[in-house]
Amino acid sequence: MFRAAVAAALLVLGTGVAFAQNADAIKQRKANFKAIADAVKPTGEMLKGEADFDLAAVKAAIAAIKDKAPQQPKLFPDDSKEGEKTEALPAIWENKADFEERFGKIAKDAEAADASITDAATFEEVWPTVVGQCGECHKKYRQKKQ
Amino acid sequence: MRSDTSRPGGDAPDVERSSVAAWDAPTRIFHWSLVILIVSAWATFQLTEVMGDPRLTWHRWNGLLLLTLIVWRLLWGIAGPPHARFASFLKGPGAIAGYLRDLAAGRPRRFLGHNPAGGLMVVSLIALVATIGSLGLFAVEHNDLATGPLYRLVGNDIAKVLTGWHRFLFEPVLIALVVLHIGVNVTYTFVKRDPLIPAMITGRKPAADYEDAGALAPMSAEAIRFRAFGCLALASAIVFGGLTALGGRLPPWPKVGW
Repeated sequence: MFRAAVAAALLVLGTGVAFAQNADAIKQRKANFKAIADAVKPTGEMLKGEADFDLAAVKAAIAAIKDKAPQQPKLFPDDSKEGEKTEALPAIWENKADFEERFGKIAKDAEAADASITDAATFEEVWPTVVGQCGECHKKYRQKKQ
Repeated sequence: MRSDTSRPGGDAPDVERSSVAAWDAPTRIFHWSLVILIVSAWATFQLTEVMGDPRLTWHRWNGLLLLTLIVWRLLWGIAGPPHARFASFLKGPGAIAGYLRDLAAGRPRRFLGHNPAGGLMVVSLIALVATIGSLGLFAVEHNDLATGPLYRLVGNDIAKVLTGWHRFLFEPVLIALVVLHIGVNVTYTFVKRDPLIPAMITGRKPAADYEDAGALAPMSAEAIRFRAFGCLALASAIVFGGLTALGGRLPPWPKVGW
């Protein structure tokens, strides 16, 4: 009985500590996503026809994806499933291989786009295939916004 | 005496005598086209990854077809044959409550067209699909990869709110209503032995004493055909002419071949 109580207390304490430890991972991955989103935003305005094609902005978005996406897989450790208002779904840890592969793929495709996007036409053609990967991943692995 | 309805493969005159026309062909085609287009609207959004369609071109054209179909149904509800007309099945709350009371009390009343509760369901479904489709005209994909044709009229902030409704009214609202609609029709068909599902396929119901039989003058097959195509032309003109008049940007053509 006493042992069970100690075990339970340790478990509760351990969970609390785990949250505290992994707040950093959650914060860091959210900051990375935010940096990507901010850099990609101007390119979305171009796709929507709200802004003129601007190669420099596209390059900046590519740089952000190439820099931040490869950092993400290691920022989803097993004990970072909850806390810090994370929108991460449990599906991430159930499909870890697919989830991690996606960051490698988008970074690789962004790199390829860096070479192939030279003007508005190639941008319209190529860019959606890169940025489209964001939404596909969100559909499977991120909570829907209400 | 032989029962005509239970005789398998009965010859044509028998079938004619034992069943009566309920749904005209255009109304049935509308119904099943609507089913297909609602399912494909969902699929073309969910499966963009395997389809290689990040800009939702299929989904967007699907929506415009769906809206055209809905406008067609609104016109058909005015110009179509008796049982397709809103005037024949749109009933007030009193009539609907009365019908449901009779149903609950074990006094089912038979209608050749929609019964009062069914009429409410049909109008609700049409209104809901019309609303979802119209909201889609202003919608924006959450990473800005695709916009509805009228997105520019409202701008990004309002578009995001409307997109939320576009999704919410589909899931869970429309899905719940469709589940109810299917459940009720299955119950009528298999439990109450009022074959509503076969009627929406064959257009005919077993001969019986229907409350609304002969309520409005019937229409000749020729007139039905002529009017159905007329309504289709008018519905396309309303949707695509309307979008053009409002300065809408139509979606790019979908790429055929995945």
